[in-house]
Amino acid sequence: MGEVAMTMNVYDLYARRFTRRYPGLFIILLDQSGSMAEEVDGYGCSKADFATTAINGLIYEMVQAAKFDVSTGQRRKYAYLSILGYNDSVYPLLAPEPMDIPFLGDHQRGTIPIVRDVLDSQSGKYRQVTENRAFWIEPRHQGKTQMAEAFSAARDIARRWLSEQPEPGQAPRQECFPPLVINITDAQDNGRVDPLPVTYEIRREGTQQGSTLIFNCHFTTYMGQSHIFPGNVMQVAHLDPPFASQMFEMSSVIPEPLRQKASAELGLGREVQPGARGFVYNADTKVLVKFLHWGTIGAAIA
Amino acid sequence: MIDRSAAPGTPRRVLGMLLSLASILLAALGAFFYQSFAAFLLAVIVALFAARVFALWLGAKRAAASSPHAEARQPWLAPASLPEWQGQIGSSAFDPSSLPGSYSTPPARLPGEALPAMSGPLTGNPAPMIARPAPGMWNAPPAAPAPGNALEPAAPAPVTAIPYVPIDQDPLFQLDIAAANERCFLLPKEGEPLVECQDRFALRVSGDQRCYAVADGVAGSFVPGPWARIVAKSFVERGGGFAGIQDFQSWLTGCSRLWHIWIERRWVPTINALRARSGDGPGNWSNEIRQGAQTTLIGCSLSPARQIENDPSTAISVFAIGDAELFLFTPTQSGGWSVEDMFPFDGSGEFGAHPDTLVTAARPDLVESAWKRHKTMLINAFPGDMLVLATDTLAKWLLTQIEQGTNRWEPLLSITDPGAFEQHIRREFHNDQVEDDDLTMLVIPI
Repeated sequence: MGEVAMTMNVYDLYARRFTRRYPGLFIILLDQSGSMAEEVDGYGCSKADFATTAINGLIYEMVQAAKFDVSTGQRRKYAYLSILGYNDSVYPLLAPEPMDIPFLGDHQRGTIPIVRDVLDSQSGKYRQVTENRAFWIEPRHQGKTQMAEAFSAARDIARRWLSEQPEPGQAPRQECFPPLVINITDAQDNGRVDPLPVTYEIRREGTQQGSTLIFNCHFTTYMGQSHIFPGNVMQVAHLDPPFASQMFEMSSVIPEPLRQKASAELGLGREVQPGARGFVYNADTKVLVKFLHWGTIGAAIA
Repeated sequence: MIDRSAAPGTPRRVLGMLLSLASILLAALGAFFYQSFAAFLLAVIVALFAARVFALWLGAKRAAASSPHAEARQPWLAPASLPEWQGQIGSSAFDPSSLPGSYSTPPARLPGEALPAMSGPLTGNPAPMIARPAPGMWNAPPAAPAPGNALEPAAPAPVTAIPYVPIDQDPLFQLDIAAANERCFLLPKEGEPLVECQDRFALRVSGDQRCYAVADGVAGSFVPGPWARIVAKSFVERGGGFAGIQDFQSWLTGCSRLWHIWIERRWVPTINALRARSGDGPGNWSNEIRQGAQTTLIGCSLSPARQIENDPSTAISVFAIGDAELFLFTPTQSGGWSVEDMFPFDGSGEFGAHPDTLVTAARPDLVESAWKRHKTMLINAFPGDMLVLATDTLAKWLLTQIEQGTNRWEPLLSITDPGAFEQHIRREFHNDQVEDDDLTMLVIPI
């Protein structure tokens, strides 16, 4: 853990839920490099399309999780969200600064048709249902993968959010759950700068509740085994060396409250060991969606 | 939710255009060949309405062609065709202007447009949410925002005729007053106002008949606090208990009706009046209202047992759905308290994340499901005993302390001041890392 958490009782760390008094910050880094154009097996769409749809679905769930105040009819501002796309450059996909979840709920950019598989209990078969769903970000795929710059941008966003004055009714940011950075990528970093140092820098900062967290998800189209929440680097060292090892080192240890939910949320069928990192290598489509949910709504709502 | 707005070029729009033109023509003929002044006037009015419809058709056709969202569609074409990508080499962190369609500045507040609803659960369980884009979806123009959803400041809605009365002054938010030395504690989450507390209690004392109820609104449901109050109050008003499923269904249906009426006639107009004062348009909570609210419930009715002559005991009939808990404490010779009984859970490990609840959607299958899950108990208590009803978080903490053999819960039975109660419980919860939640406790002396 970074210096921020050294004085805390270990049982206090990461225990705070996201509420309007103690809102949280999610920063999603989405690889939008050229390799995201590859098609996802069985889905008839590109990795960029799928990942973007997954994130739009996540935003929808985050909005739904913001319940209404009975006295004002307003959704509760329990979290802020920033999404950065990165390829040859880094750019915001929502707004330069984090946006609160209720605001996103009122400002979707439109709707798109989504196909869902739903189980019909009468026939016992899955059938496809097409429904319109709100979207906030759009897919793209071009250029290389400047991961270090993406993390630098995330670091700056987190710093600004932590240092800014809280809104009326909110506690100081230092009393809130620390920011959560989630990186979705399909490829090796081929940028000019090694991202590892900047991830260390990010994780040395945080709040009284703990250090800023970084979770990485390597999203792939290849039908291989997903390596979910490894406990030590040797479990992934043989995978695409040194890329998987590097991503392991870039990932935070999963805090205890999240670790306890990880197995159920991802349907692992096994306990996630203490000390496991928030890192998934070779995630398929199902794992990607569950990982995103666990790392955001799972963290926010006990 | 299926987008029912007709896109330009569809048969409905063409038909609408033809009808409006025909109306204009016929009205013009009527004005020209009028037989009386009234007929002339009627023809003019018809012509004006028809002309307005035609003008709206023209306006919608132009808006579809020139909408900023039409530009936003372009990134979904091959990136190489986009002029903004040309020359985008090298890196420049935070270059928002290079991303067309992004939020360069926060858009003005839109009229309250509900999010398209997820499909309600179809028959059976929905599959895991691995939603994928429809084939070719990202290459097709997205559905344009519904009319009136343009990114321009909405004209302030006219102030409703209903004067704005803050919702916390509604009778549903009044607290019952203790009538038989009960102590009633209602504590919202730390930092939250009492009006947002989703726990509620109710009590009714009539002669030697007493009835109490505690309900815990489910935070993930829609406006659960008032639902919890309606359920708790209705339970005590009827004296508790049900003769059977039909009696239960009738009661629950009545509660549901009350909630829907209150929402539609009180909450929605009040909130819309509040929004109008802020310059916002009316909200749309139809999807949320349809999904409704949920609450747990534990209630008990007390009456003299009179099983034998001079029987001093009190018969307690308990009804429970969900994870609110009842405790019966008896005084010890040393001046403390011991646990005589607890219901419906015997151990802290029985509390789960998804308790059984009562829902506002009065569907027969949901009513039957709730009835199957209800629990009842009959116990006797004696003078000097103390009955406690508590919602889940406090109940679980109490049970944990009892299991661990501590006496940290005992002061709660003697605290009378709400401030002292809050101070004590928050200190205990902080020490034990208990999650912040609404808390309700009724302490009922026998």
